[in-house]
Amino acid sequence: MRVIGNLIVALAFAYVLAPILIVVVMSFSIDAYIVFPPSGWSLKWYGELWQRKEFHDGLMVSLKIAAMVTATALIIGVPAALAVARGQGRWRDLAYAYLTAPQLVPAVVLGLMLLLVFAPFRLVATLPGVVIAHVVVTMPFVIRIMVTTFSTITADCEAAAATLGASPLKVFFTVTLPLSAPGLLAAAAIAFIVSFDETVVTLFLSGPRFTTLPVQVFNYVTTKTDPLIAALSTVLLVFTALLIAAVERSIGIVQAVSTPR
Amino acid sequence: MTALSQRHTMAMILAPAVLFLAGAFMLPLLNLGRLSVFENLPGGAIRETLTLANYRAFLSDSFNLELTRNSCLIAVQASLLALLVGYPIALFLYRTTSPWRGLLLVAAISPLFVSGVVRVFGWLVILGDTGFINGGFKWLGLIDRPLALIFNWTGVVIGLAEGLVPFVVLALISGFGRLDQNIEDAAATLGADPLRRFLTITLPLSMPGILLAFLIGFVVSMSAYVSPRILGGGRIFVLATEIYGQTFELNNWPLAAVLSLYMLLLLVLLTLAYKKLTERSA
Amino acid sequence: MAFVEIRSLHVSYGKTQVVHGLSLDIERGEFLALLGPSGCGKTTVLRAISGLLQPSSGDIRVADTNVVGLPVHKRNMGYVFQNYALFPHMSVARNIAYGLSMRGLGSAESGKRVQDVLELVRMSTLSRRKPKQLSGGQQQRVALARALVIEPQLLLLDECLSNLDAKLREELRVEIRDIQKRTGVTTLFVTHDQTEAMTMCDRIAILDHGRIAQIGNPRDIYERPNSPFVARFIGRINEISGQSNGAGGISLDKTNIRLPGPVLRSGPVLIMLRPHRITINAVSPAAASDRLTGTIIRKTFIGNMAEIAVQTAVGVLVVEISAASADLDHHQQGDTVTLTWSAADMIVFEPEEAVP
Repeated sequence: MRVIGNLIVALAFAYVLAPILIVVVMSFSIDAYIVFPPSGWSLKWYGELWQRKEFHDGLMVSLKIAAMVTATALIIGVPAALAVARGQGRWRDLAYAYLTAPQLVPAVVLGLMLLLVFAPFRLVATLPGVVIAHVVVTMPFVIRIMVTTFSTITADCEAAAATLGASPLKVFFTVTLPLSAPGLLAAAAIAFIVSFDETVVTLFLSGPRFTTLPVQVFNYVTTKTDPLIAALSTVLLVFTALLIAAVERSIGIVQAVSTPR
Repeated sequence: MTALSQRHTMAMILAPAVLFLAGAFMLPLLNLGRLSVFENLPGGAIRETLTLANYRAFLSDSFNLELTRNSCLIAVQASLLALLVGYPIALFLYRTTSPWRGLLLVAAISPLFVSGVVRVFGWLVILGDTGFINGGFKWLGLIDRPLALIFNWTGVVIGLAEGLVPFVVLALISGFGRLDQNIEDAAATLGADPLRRFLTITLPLSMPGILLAFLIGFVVSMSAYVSPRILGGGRIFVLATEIYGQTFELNNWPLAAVLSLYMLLLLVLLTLAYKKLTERSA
Repeated sequence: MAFVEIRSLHVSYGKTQVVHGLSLDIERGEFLALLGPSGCGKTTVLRAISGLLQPSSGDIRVADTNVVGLPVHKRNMGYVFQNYALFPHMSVARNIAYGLSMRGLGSAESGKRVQDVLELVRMSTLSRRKPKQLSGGQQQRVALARALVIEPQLLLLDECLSNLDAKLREELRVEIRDIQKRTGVTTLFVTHDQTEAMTMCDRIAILDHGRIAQIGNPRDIYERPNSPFVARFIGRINEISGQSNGAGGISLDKTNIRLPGPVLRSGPVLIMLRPHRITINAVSPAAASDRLTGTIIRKTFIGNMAEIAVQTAVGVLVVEISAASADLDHHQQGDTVTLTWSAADMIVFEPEEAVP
């Protein structure tokens, strides 16, 4: 019975991890199109990737956007999360619902909403436009992680620090901030990853003049299927895996993505 | 600092985020309603006259009913598949004491951290005519012609469900909180074998988690775009793909706005139904 | 004028009022316990005094200064939390030095004072450890040291022994009391454990639903409770219904026993007796109208004493006798015995309103 159970679990895991593993394997295929099993192995697609300027550009743009989005989301989101965590009663719940509302809206709807508002202001297919959109998308993640961090990790110690003579500002810098560092790291990493991977909303807001890496991949996949994209995807996977490892070591993944309270 | 000035400080640090979302989210949301009553001119221009023409067009087109049916059906099937796969994983993770638990948990929710397009591309490779499954079966001599697993309904459900598993696993694990090992031990001492214990104790107690997982799976499925578009090969039509199509291929932004509001309405109704359902059993 | 004067303190949590017009005086150097069942408002009072909670009305004066408007960090009151609230990211030494650094003390001067207080709580060798490397008892001592080193005008202890096991609690009770005597700091100690309150404190204030039911030294509270609530809350007590004849005589219900007692209005009374004030004797041949007889239904041996439950006409009464008593083995289950007590040991109250 136990063996059957474990087999079922193993199959379930295999199903979940299948696409990721296949993509990595396929990136080393020698063939010019997707065929399994590959007739041989080669690193040529990585070399091809290296040659493609447009993907370099796309990568740079995505990294730049992700960095700006992370910074912005943290700067306005962390203080807001602190206010919510310290708040009481109905206002607290209302503020929390308001700040996490974007996660309830489907990406296509969000994309359309922003397109409609950006168009008259000529923000479509521009860096600021995409950054704004991504901040909206990542804000709920930052809020959720930091509200949990602030409510569970630091409240008692802050009270103790106050009784020992620390003014509210001193409490924030000597106790609150150091104790919430792991949470901050997780929020930053998640915001970065979410922005970097964001596809659908960005699809609505990008164009020939301005595009991100995921959108490039999307367009490529709808027209061609060759292992080049597999190589590109593998690079992205490795990069993301490193970030995830950092988050897991700080506060743990489940803590980062679960609902607080 | 008095209680009052503390309140003021809190309000001040809350303000930037609130204002930002007011302009970048709330306003666009209201604007969606505004656009839905504007007139769409042939060619894609928009005349800012108030009209209900878009709503009439939406309600009279039976294609929208088919879209709704497709979206809901795909959502139900994908959620069920995700539950089928996610339940064993969640139960295993909840119970195991293995030192690899953390790593396995990360593995279980890894689809969340991979861009949708990358995941979907992986499924193209697995399900394609010359892909992993077909290639493998052919090589093993099991089939002569490839199975049509891609660019159709089947492919969409399989690919979409995999993306739902992380949400399902997390929802289930949070719902397992009520599963005390002691309760199962008590059942064992009273003579229940493992299968009976699972059916009469474990499963019923995890029902709240299962319902939550199903709701989340359904909501995420309904909202999905990349999976239906790419795995459906342009042949599977759901609300999400229609919104994109109306926006960029037919240049009818007002109608796209109507569709969007419709989709939001469906999701709100769904969530209310869930709340009603769980309140009664609580 | 007392060192701490609290007048008409009202505190609410949201819409519920938890403390109702509490007034209290605390003398300098005193060790006062706030004792009561859960929910009686004792922690609320403590938090209001420290500034962690704002009262809705009332005065709190310390050393003749009204502190109600003062923010927490300006009140100079040491607070020891129930779960210690040690800073996990700092070592023991830095935890303790925190309050001193907030007061601008340099590291040399601060270092010496930290050392001194570490010796006081017997934790000198563990100054470099982090809180998670310490046991519960050790964390407790660090929390205490941290609150003491700032030489506070008031020390507030919030059920800080509740999370420790029995043996450790006993040890720490004595230690804390010693330290308090040596430093002379005025201390307010919140607890739900009577033994703690009785063994550690100069005076005990018993709280009931946000009000002070009685305040006094442990002996007074135990021997002369001013209400049935206090009598029942502290120690064990027996209850007997009776009638007062208005002239100092009390008759026990359902018997024809008449005993001398305090002069009360004639009418029903509630008589309360401490178990160790009842004497148990073999039945004497002459039946008397001034003593109660009954049958032993249970005898329990509890180390240093024995509890004997006797079924009488007025109910089951519990008697405590010392384990050293020669009578311990004489009385067996099923024996018929006589119970006597002196009039002065009866605590008599008007009966309470029946609870609907």
